[in-house]
Amino acid sequence: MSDNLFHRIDTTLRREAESLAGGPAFAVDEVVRAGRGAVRRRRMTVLAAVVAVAALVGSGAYAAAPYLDSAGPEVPPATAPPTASVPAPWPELPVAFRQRNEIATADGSRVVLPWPADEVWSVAETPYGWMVETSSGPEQKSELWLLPFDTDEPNLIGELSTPVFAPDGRTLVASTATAREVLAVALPSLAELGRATFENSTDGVTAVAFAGDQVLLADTWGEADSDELAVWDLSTGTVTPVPERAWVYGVSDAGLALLRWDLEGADCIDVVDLSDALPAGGSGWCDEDAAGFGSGAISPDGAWVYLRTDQAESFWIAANDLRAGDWRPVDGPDVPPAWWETDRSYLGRDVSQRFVRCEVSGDCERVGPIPFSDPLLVHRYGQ
Amino acid sequence: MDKVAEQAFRDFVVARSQALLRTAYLLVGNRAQAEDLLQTVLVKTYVAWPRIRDAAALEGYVRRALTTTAISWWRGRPYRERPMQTLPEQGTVDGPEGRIERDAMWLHLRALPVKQRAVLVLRFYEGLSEAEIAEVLGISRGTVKSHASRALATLRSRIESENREMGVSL
Repeated sequence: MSDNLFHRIDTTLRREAESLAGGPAFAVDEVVRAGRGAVRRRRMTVLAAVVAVAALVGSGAYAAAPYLDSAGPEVPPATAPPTASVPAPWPELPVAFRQRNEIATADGSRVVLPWPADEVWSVAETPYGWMVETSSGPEQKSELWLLPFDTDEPNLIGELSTPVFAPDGRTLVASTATAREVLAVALPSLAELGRATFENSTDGVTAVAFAGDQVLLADTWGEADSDELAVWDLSTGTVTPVPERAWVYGVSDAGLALLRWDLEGADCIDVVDLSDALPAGGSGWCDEDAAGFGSGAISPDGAWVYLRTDQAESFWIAANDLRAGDWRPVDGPDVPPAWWETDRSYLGRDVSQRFVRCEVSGDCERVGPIPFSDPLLVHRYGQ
Repeated sequence: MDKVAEQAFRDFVVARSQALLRTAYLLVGNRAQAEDLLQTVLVKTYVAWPRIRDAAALEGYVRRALTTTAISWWRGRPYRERPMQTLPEQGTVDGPEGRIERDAMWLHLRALPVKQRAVLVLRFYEGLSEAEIAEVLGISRGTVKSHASRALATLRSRIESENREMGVSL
């Protein structure tokens, strides 16, 4: 059976690859032009960083930035002046554009990391500054940076990834370089509040959401069909595994988690309270046709959820009493992924990747032009 | 970059773009995204070109950049966005039976989480060993094994389930 399976995988991949006629549509000149621009920007950044370091060292003002891990950054933190290389996003959207070590945000701010990072994975706005997750170097090492609003001095928090924040922006939880471990950090002091190990995790644990002192953890690199889940209580330090596997589509500010799981062929969704230690699935709403919910999101107040089926027949479900079984499909626009801006409106992307702002009434409007590159949604906390 | 080095880079792009586009397509499952992915990676390669000393290192660099960039693109999406369980039909040129079989396997491959799919693409299409895949993805050999094992178990389970419905044994 394995040989047959391997043969089919091999054959399928080769056929699919060979079915792709011709080469890329872009010309080599375009690549070279973009490459030259990238080299120029990189030189300017490195030069500016060197000048900044020299100035700091010369004035005696340099001090190592605080970080939690024992191993410090390989290069002393320094600040490069902003450049105009990244176009500013539109003021009406909470998004940022990034290009190498530079990030342009909607309010006109430009965040320049002290040395080029290969990727900026996420940007969050907290009361104490921008929180930026990057990866760089040959090992694609993940790092988390705090860039305070009132200074150009970036602080390396540590070798951390996939941060989530408390709604007030005063605490973050992120995955450490140790596969099964997450770390809680207080802001802005960067003091460590605790570490938790998720024993059921296999390849890597990720904090998914906060609700009060409860943090929902998931084994997100695990199997495709669902995640192992656990609730970490920051006040007691206990980690309680959730008996049922599920996908978490989001958690409202009030701590209501939108879960999805498979139940004997049916596709089920439910909204459960994190403080109830996530009871076993079965009390929610199951689609016997198993259309499959490809994505979903819950409004900040937990009153509405957005779900999209794998067949792209999106619909709303009014959620005034979901736990009592009051699930009511409502036709809605197909503009995934949904990101709730307020309790009654959300942002989506249409087929051209343009942003669309929709109200729960179903009224939608396009916002801004088609993005020139893939923008980052900037989550705001404590606002 | 001097003119000789830039010409060498141009020659590399011309010679390898079609093959690299195919790998990118297998990683992301969509031609437009594959072109974006490849262009992004080629720009990175241009910047790194002076540091890359030989052809073997070059292939390794580009392969690694393709896979890690594809994974980071996926990772940068909101957490709630997930691989789809089923995917829409694709146009094909095969006969009915071959088309159904190929489509089924391709749809299952595309529905895998991106890291698992990357491991299978590198193993079966690129013909890399576990150690080479670990190096490309920057993960341990054990993690490569676990990704491969989970991907294969998922594929096996889905195909067996389909075959049971059709009364066919794999």
